[in-house]
Amino acid sequence: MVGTIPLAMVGPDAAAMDDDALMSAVRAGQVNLLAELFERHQRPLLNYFLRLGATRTAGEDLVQDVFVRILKYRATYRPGSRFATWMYYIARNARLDHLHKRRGEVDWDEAYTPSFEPADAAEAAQEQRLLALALARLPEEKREILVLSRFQELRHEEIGAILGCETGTVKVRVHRALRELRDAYQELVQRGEA
Amino acid sequence: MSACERAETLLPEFFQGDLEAPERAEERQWLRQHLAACGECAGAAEMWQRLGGLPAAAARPQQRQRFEEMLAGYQAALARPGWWERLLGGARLAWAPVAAALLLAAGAGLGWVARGAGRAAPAAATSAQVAALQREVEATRQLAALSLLQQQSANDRLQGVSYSSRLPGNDPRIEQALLHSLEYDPSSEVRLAAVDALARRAAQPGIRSGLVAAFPHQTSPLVQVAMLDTFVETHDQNARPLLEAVSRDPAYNPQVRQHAIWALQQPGWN
Ligand SMILES: [Zn+2]
Repeated sequence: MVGTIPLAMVGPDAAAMDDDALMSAVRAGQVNLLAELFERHQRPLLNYFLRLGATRTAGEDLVQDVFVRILKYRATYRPGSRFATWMYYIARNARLDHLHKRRGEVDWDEAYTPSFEPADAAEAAQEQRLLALALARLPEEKREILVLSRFQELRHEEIGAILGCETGTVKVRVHRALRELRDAYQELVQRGEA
Repeated sequence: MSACERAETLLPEFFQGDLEAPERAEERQWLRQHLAACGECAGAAEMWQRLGGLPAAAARPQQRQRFEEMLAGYQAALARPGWWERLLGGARLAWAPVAAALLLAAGAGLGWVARGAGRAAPAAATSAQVAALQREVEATRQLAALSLLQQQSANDRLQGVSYSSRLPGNDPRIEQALLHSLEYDPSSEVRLAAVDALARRAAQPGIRSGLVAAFPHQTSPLVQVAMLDTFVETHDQNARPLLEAVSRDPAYNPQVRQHAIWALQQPGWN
């Protein structure tokens, strides 16, 4: 039976398939192949949530929630489309649900202190610290669009599909968000050096 | 499009490596020239560059393990012929075994520990001593369930729900905690397990009214369908107006509305 192939059998064949081929197979019932998609995307997905202000625990819960939703709604995936776009659409909704449910509770840090630790805190450049702080200070929708564009490496039209707006609007908003980030960063740098 | 607008559009693609393609060499060349000549765009490019240098967190191995448990549970549930189709199609659900297989696999361990402790009573003990010991074990289990329900990690909360669903008796604190999970837990897995645990206690009017009250706040169609099944099982008259409202309200998922219509057609409401 297709549905019960052990995870150990997700072998080199799966590794050679692209995301769309894997998700199309998952949609068709080879759900074991989701393990390969998990392997590829769990880290960027975790960092997506962390950069948008999740604590480590909330971020990990959300990664799991996204993959549960992918299974539940696998029939809604359109073969031939880009998997990452669909996944971040689900991720965004999972996060909004979470924020809605958790209003006023502590595990979502509205003030956002960056929860991703640099690999070596002692050597972490001041520049990175200030930049993370500047990013944290951006309004929610600006931070989100920069994260999608720069870290999740989604194209303007894909971000448009995720946020439900025109590609042209995305371009303008990315640009504005970047300008605001620059201003916030410059301000922090100047204050830091003063 | 002005030169700067064009550069702004190309910058994200440049940093994603899309301009490396041979057919885009001309655009890449153009962008380099523009950046050399335009301070504003060079500043933007520098910002993109810096952003890319921010460190990324590594995933912990527990995450992979948790995913594999979930997937294995899903595959086991999938192997039951037709359950998924029945869920989406709106036919009667054998909800408890599905939820158990899908969601609660991880929760089994604690129950065994508690049962083991209960059995450890010495054979020579009087029945009064055994009863006292059992009460003690019971109290410990309740405390463990309550504390698990308040954990940060959804996996721990799932264990708490699973654990409390096996506790005998009607501890109001457990019931309140389960209703709270159903209403406020951010994880749909936990909410689904809470419905299952509450359904087993639905003989009590407080639980039934709590389920009715919690329904409108649910966002997951899966959780809503599980709750509708519980209403059918209990034939709670107070749930009927809710079912009628759901069946007519276009704001609900069409499958949930269809399920509400089906639920109203089941015998036993009057
Ligand atoms: Zn320019």
